[in-house]
Amino acid sequence: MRNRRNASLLNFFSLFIIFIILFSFIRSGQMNNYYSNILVTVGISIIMAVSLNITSGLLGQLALGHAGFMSVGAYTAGIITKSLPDMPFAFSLAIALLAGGILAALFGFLIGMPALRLKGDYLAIVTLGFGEIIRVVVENLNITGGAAGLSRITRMSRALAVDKKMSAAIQFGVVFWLMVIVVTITFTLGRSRHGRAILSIRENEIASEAAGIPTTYYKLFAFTLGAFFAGIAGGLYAHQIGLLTPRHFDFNRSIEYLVMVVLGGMGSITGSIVSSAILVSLPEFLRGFADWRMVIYSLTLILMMIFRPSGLLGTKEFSLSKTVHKIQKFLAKKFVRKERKPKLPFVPNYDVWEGKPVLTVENLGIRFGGLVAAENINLHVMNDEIVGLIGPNGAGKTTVFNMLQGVYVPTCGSITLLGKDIVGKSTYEIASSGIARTFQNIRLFKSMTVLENVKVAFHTRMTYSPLSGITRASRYDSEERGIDIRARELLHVFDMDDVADENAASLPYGMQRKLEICRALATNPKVLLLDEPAAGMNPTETAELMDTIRRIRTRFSVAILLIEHDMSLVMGICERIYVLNYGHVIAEGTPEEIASNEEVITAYLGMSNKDNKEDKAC
Amino acid sequence: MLIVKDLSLYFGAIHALHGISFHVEEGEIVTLIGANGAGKTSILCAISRILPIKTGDIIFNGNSITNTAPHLLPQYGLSQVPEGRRVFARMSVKENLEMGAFFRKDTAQIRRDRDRVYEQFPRLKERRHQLAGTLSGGEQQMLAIGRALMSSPKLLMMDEPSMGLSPILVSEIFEIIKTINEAGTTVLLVEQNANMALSVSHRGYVLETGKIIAEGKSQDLLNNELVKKAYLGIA
Amino acid sequence: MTLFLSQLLNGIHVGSIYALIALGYTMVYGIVQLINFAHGDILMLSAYLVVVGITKLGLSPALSVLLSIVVAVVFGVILERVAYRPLRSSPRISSLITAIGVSMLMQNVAQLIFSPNPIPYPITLSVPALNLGGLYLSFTTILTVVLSVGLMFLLQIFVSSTKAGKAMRAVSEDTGTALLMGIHVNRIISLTFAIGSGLAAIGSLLYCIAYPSVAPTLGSLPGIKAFIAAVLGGIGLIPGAMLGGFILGIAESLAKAYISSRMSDAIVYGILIIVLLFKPAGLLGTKTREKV
Repeated sequence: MRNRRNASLLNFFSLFIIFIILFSFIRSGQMNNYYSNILVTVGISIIMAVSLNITSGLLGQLALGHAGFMSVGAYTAGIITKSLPDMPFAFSLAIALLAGGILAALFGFLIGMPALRLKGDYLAIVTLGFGEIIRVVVENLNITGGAAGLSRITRMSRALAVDKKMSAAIQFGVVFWLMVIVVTITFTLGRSRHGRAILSIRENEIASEAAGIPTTYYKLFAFTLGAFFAGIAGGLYAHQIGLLTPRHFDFNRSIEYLVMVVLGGMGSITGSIVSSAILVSLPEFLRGFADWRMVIYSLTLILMMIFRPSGLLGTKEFSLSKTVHKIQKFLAKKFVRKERKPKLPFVPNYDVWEGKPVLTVENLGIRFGGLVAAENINLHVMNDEIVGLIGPNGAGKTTVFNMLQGVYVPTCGSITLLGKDIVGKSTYEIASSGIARTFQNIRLFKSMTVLENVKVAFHTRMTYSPLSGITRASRYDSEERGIDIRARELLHVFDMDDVADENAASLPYGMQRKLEICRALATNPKVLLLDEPAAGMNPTETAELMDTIRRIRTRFSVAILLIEHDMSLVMGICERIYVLNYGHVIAEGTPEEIASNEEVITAYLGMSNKDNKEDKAC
Repeated sequence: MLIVKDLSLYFGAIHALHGISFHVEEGEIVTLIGANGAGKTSILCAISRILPIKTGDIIFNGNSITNTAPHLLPQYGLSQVPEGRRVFARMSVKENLEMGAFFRKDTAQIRRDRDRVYEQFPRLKERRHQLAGTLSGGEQQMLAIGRALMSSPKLLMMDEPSMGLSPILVSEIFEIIKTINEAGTTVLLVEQNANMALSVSHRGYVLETGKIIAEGKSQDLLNNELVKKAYLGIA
Repeated sequence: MTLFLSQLLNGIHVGSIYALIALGYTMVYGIVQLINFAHGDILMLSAYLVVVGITKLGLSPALSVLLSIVVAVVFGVILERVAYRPLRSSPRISSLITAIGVSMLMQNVAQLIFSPNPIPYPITLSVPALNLGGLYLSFTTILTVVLSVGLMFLLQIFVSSTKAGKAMRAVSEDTGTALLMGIHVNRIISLTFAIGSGLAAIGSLLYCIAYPSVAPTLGSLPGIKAFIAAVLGGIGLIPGAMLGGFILGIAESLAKAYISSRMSDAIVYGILIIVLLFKPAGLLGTKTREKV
């Protein structure tokens, strides 16, 4: 906490210095209108780029109509200040900007609701469509002045003070500090649990949902927030230029901001800031090459994608405080400060389920079109049991898991977890109710650290709001510290303390598996579904895994249902086994019973040849 | 005919194969068996050059194909029936077979080969204008085999032909494999169904987590304890 | 009634052009899952080539058109080779952005060379229209529809009956397995781009005869509309592109006549969005599940 406070102070201090310097240049006339205008444009572009980065970089969904939100904000703000000519400009401007932002956010929400149901290319197309619709509608409304546009909007550089130079300086100030606020909010939100949730959706939506994140809510949240900031940028733009035409907000505009985000690195806020500054100011200083500007833009885009698709900064962020912190450590000086007590995440209190199964599946079945993938599945898992689910390829094992987790909705039958029916619930609800899962092909949040991967899973057990996350209020602080402790504890159980700050993608395969299991446990489940946990492991790693699973069961008091092909593992740790074939349960029993079951042997080793049978008879 | 030396392969982060060596002689049926995740499909994908090889050599009929482009292999006489059949669902049975012979120019012989496939798989002939996606699992498997045969291969590699098929169909398919071999095609068979695979093949290799743990005549392997252990985990 | 019919004819006219262009989008998407944003700009490229051919090189109109088609085809193939092939294994978003970049590049280079001001298209048809009881059927319309439909027909035959065409279908469906068959996948992809670009070049001729003004941004609007048509019908499916093109053309025409000329663009987008929300894979498309 002390570190964070110091970091914030340091950042604020440096910003303030920069501001004072630039402000005085403009105020004194040493920087003329041309240059101060560039600064203002840079500021507005940074806001736009950062807002787009929230949707496309942090959330990972490419949206192509962002200029539409800017235009909503711009026109709204312009119309408002024009209709309040008697109010002091400072007030009407404030109202206008806020209104512009809110209306843009509303549009974002309304567009996001249907659009975010689509994926990838389709989302891009639909957002493009909406952007164009906004443009066409604006072009045809009277209130917006139609194709001729809205003119004679009060300009900040004239109306914020009596003296023109002072007014220009204040204009700069308004834009500068608004930019700082937007960037700060984005940064702090990104570091909070809400930011983690959003990032996890980008990394792996299915795993995110399985970890308890309500993905639809967060997609909408990110989209709307991006629209809100874009709206504010629009309002600023309107009052900088003084004139709006629909042409200003066409597809090319959206592309310009996309280029800034891509160039800086999608997901890197710092990158967006740097690239916006470069892309706005450079052409101004290369006025002679104005004609070539767009050509260079496009070439840069193409070459960037081919040679450095992650952009200038990739997903990295520059941290002033980290650099200073390193210096501080070097000049170590300790002083003790009273630290607030960490709030440990709420541990749900499950009733003790002795004697009753924690999970019951009755007559479960599902068909895809005409194909029956599973039928008449009956199984149950008792508290603290380790149960195996085996069967040849295509027998329907993963299908059963998918139904247990709500990824597929069964066509018949029931699933009861801790006495409650969970059929029809969404995956993240089921995750919060007590079922956690690992996947056949490991689904980690690759560009997040090991610790962050685990922290995502604590999401549903935390309560602080986005606002709290942004303002770094006390609840944020205590809850974050709480889960930090818990997450590290968990990692300790798996002997992964020393890799806590490594990127998940850099771990060796066996450890990635462990991390996935660790993350699943962070949701404090009552039932843990492991889908082929030993896939790709050598005998040593498998033995280690068996040990880990046993430890988990004891320490976390959790029932485990696992799918596996590695028989040494299944026979070694499962107390009971269900055998599936062609979508039906063909056998159930202890490992010994299963190993000597004729039907099972046939299902696995295949039909015996006639000759073979004769040999055996002899 | 086919020699694989010291093949090592990474599948993403997994070290899927650790220095595998085996060979296939002309006229044989050789089978690779092992549990899921043992690395069987990776081997075929490596030979077909669909997966990049870390280290090792693949020699086909005396020529090294370690660096050959994948689409050239059928011309050399190496064809694969992929895992999961992978028929072109939106094309008809007839068109699928045509695709199998894509690189060939000898139209008359292609037609003769096609007729031979129809003879071998009468059900395919009945449905030759039907879209492949509407065929049953067994029929699709037959189509996939027929399609691979259309390239007139010297070595036919098959990846888990029994997957997802009912026991009766499995027997049928394996009978067909025997017939194909008797007609002169060498077969490399990757299978999960060890009994079936070992009963039709001449020699076999047993894989476990990317290494060969047993090899020999199929008859011997059938009664081998190691095979039982690899599958059912009992000594 | 006459108004309705004449607008319908208009719609079929412009719809057939959209369909022709949409084919290029859909074939490319089907085979490499890329939205080739630069496709629409091929219209512009061909138009300028015809202009240059006739006014600067003194070629006959026919020869200029031929030149424009040939250059467009070559351009399409080179574009794929240079800008898209390196990105085949990169995330989809990279290819998307590159395509956008190429489109912008083309437009801005054209602007540098030719200036942003529109210039007239040097080929016009001045054959009097047929009068069918008050309904005017222009020669241009007949030519456009016949030529477009004819080409689509030929394409359909190509794809269903020729070896290369079937290979295109195979590669679109399953590139990996196509490789196993010995199909030279890269060549097939180049062929796809070539055909798409060629069709776009012809589409350019038909479009410019109807709207004879050439500017660097020529390809933007019809390009986007053709793209929407492809998505509407079900992107990746050739019949989808044809269906989508005609539906879009007719919808646009009727919207212009009966609702508002200026809002017709928005209406077109609106139709797309509504369709996508109910049928995410387009009218003729089928949804694919992600494997969990």
